Amino acid sequence: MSDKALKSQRTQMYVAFQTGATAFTLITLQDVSAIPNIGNPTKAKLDATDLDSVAKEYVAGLSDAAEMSLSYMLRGSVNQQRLRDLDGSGVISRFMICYSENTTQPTISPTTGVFTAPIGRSHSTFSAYVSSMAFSVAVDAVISGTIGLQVSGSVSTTIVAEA
Amino acid sequence: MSAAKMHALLIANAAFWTAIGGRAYPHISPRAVVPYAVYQVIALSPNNTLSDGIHSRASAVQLDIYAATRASADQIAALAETSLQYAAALTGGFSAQDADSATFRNSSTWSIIT
Repeated sequence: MSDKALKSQRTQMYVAFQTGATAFTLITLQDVSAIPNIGNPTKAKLDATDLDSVAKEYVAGLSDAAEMSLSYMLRGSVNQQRLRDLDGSGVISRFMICYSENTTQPTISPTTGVFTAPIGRSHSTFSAYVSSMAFSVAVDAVISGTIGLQVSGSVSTTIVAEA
Repeated sequence: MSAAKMHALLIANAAFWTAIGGRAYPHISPRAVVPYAVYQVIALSPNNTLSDGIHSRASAVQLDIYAATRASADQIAALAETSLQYAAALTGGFSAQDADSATFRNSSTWSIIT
C-alpha cells in the first residue's frame, strides 16, 4: 500500500523569474520545509433563493484561491534573494510545484516564462505574487520564516496516473 | 558533527582546558585522573527540507564535569559556560555525586546547531 504513496520528500518549487521585459530564468526555491494549501480554492456562495424556494438555494461563485504560506529556512542563496526581490514588487510570476516521482526539472520559455512540465512528474502550476516574506529569530533555533504567495487565478494540478 | 563542535569549543577555551587538564572525552572516560569532562550527543532534531536535504541539525549535547569536590566541578563547569553560551544554548543541568567513582559531577545539556 505505502509503496504507492506519493511522498512529499523531493517536492520542488520553481519560479519563472523575470529578468527583463521578455526574459525569464528558471529558479528553484531552496530550503522550503512545507507548502500548505496547494489549490484549495474556496468558491463564493451566491444566494439564489427566490419566492418559489422552499429552502435556501445557492449557486457557486468564482473560485478564490487561498494564500499559500510556505515555510522556509533562511540562507544566503541567490535564489532566496531573488524571491526577496519579488517581495513587495507586486510582480505576478508563474510558479510550478513538481512532486516526487522523479527529479527532472521543468523547462520554461526564456521569452514568456511559460512552464513545460517534466514527463512523468505530477505538478501544480499557478500565478502568484509574493505577498510577504518574513522570518523569525529566536533562541536555540535556526532562522526560519514564511513566504506568502497570493495566487491570482486558479491552481492547476496534474497527478500522473500510477503505472 | 555537534560533538566535534563541542570539543572544538572546549579546546578553544584556554581557562577551561587548563582547569580540566586537557581531559575531555567523547562518550566515556578512562576515569583515571580527576577532573575530567565527558560529552555526548543525547538527542538530535534535524531541520529537514522538501528538496534540499537536511538544512541543519539541532543536537542536545550533554557535558559532564567530574571533579574531586562539588565546588571544583561547578567551578570548571562555569568556565566551560563562559564560551559555550555564545555558541550554544544551555537547556538544563544538575549536580550529583557519583557513588561508584566517589566523584562529583556537574552535568549540563547544551543545544548546538550545526
